[in-house]
Amino acid sequence: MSAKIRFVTDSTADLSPEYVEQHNITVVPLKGSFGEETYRDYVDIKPDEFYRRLRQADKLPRTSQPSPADFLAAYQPLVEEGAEIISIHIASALSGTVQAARLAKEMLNYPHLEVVDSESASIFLHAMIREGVRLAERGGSVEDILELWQSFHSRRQVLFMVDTMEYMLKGGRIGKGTAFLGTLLNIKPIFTFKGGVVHPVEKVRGRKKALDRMVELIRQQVGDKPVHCIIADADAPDYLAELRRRVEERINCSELIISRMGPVMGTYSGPGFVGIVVWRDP
Amino acid sequence: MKIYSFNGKDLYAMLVGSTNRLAKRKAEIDALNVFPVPDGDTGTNMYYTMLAGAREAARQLDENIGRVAEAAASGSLLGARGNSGVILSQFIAGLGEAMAGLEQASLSDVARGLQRGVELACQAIANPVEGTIITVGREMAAAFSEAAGRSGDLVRATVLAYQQAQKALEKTPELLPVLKEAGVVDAGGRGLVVILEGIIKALKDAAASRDVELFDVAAQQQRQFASTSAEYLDKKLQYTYCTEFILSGSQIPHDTLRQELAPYGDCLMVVGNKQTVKVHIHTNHPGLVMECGLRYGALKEIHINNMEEQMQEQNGLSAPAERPLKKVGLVAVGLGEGINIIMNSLGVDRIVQGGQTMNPSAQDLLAAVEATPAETVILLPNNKNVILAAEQARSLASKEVMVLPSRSLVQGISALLAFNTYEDGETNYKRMEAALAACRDGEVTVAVRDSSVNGISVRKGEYMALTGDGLVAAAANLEEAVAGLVGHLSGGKPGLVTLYFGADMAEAEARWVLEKVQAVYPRADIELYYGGQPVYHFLVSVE
Repeated sequence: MSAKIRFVTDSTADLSPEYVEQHNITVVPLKGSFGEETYRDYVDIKPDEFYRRLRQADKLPRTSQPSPADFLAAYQPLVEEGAEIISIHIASALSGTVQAARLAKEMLNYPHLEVVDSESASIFLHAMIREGVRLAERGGSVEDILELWQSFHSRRQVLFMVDTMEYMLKGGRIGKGTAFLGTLLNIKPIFTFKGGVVHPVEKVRGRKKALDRMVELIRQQVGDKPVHCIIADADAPDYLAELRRRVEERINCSELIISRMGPVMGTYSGPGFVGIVVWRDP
Repeated sequence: MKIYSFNGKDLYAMLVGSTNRLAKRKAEIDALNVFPVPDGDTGTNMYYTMLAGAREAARQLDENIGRVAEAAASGSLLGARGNSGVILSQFIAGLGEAMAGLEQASLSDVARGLQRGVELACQAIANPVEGTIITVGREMAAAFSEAAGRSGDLVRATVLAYQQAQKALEKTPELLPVLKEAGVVDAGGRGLVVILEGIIKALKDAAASRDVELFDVAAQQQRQFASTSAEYLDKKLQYTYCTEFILSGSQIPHDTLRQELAPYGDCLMVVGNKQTVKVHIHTNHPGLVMECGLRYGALKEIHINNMEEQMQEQNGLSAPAERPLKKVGLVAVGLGEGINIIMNSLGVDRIVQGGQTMNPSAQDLLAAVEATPAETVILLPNNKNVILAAEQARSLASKEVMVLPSRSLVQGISALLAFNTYEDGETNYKRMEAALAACRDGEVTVAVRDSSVNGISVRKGEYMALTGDGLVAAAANLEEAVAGLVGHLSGGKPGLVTLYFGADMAEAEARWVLEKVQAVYPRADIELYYGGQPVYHFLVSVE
């Protein structure tokens, strides 16, 4: 019988408190600040309050990765348990979080700690954690989980849209050339993640058409096959409801999880984000 | 008065003669427009194409006819504007091929060259339509061939060809029903007839000068004629400032304004109605032009561009810091401030001004393509009349160019929406092509004369809804015409409707029209944007 596997992630995975508690996951918060006032993601500020303040703020909040010390503190109790630790985080192309975790790993010199760059964030990271947790709970080993994740990006479809490009542009987390996604004509650009980088897929005019198109693109890839699905919004419950209705009509979901974007991720998407990830079992 | 052989200078005199003739007749040719829209430009396009050929010939002026003919061919290929201009440039290219390497040419070379020109023109256009410049050109070439079989006199042959071309022109309405309905002959064909008139005049002058060659005076006159013409041609292109503005007044006399402005430069356009006039001119005295305009109303939206500077920029003379080459660049023909802004926001690298009222030349398009720092350029002509010139630019370009056959500004915008910088040229081209096919669009403007098209009769002053298929609705009110167009495009069930309002409309007025259309189609999403295009009150797309 191998030692118990424990998962560590960061707050950008946007896991629900219930899920975190149920599966005993350690979440290391990123940090943000409105002016001088600093907060820990999900700990000191919850999404509702965050979006209310974001809409009123003159300047975008700043965000920062956890320090290696934060990771040391998170890993310490697990090391003492003698657990096998899998620490999976937001894409290194988007944040320095993975580097901080790796630094902590070097300092610890603990052999049973794997730090993984998810090459994604939010619900897309969330999806990987669910898949890993499920395998661990069925008795899979750390190697099995890492192997399973190797193929994750080829089994998943990720799409999201934003109401306005403003936040993504200000946040600087998008690749070069994406500035020309049109700020006129009520264009709703649809994006995906490729190699950890936000990548434009299509430009669609109008929200309804963009939502239709997202679900259509997913359907073109998965057809009638059963898939796991997570959808989420950033302070856009109407969009989320519209997306959900379309998903339920068009996609064969073996599970459909409704999530939302937290404060740190919401800083870059801005209010009005909706996203979907579907993945099939290998 | 017979000419059996002629040299480079004679050819040049013919080019100058026909160019000058076209200059005089271009407005009349422009007016031969199937749709009563004040945007006809066939005459202007043919004139600029001839002018470009004559100008290049002036640069290479020589006794050797091969050199002059080739220069005229390359000049007109580059300067070709509009479909008729491109076809005309192919006729000249045929002559260039036939005369290449010759010291002097004879009538049989002309006949051979024009036959070749007709072949080239048919290759250049995908579906040659009878009843157009192609038909008139073929008849002209046949007449030269026939005459060459009888006698070698170029003057007589040209007169015969002129008569034959004139007959063919008169028959164009029989061949092309839209011409008959509109009660006009084909404009491009008419242009060709005018060119022949110009050549006859030049030949007669030349023949006269030969007959009296012993008299110094006449010979000198002839030389003078050639040299002043050359000067005149050069001067025409020496205007530096492209000056544009909108004039608002109450009773603006277009013709008077046009006459007053004409001496200040070239490329003059005075379009609009009695209250609002768009003025465009290339001049060295933008201040004087505006002063002149001020006498008739208030000036708005003044744009003065230094074309020399633009040209230098385009040629990379005042080269900005070296930029890395993009995989795929975009060059689009745009018209109207608002449209240009939208196109820029969709990633267009270079916008070439032009379109319906002022077709850009192959050279304008080529310059923009060459100035775009990309390995491959997708070129959007955004007007059915510019597609051929775009093809011409493609064949002349030093880099890979893909011409997307977009036939309107709105189609161009739809195609641009499908563009993705991360994909290669091939993939993008396919996506954009599919977007073109899915785009349904049209435009609304005022009829400038009574007409009947597609079985719909329209009276002067009424609003017309036009699509790529022609006139689809006419109404006394603007809002009815727009609603009619939306209904036609969508089969009565519009989803997303986009209205781009023109330069001559106030936003409040445009919004009022939107509300009226919304009342007719309450379930449609209707969006309104400023297009700023001349002539058309609204450009409309339906998705």
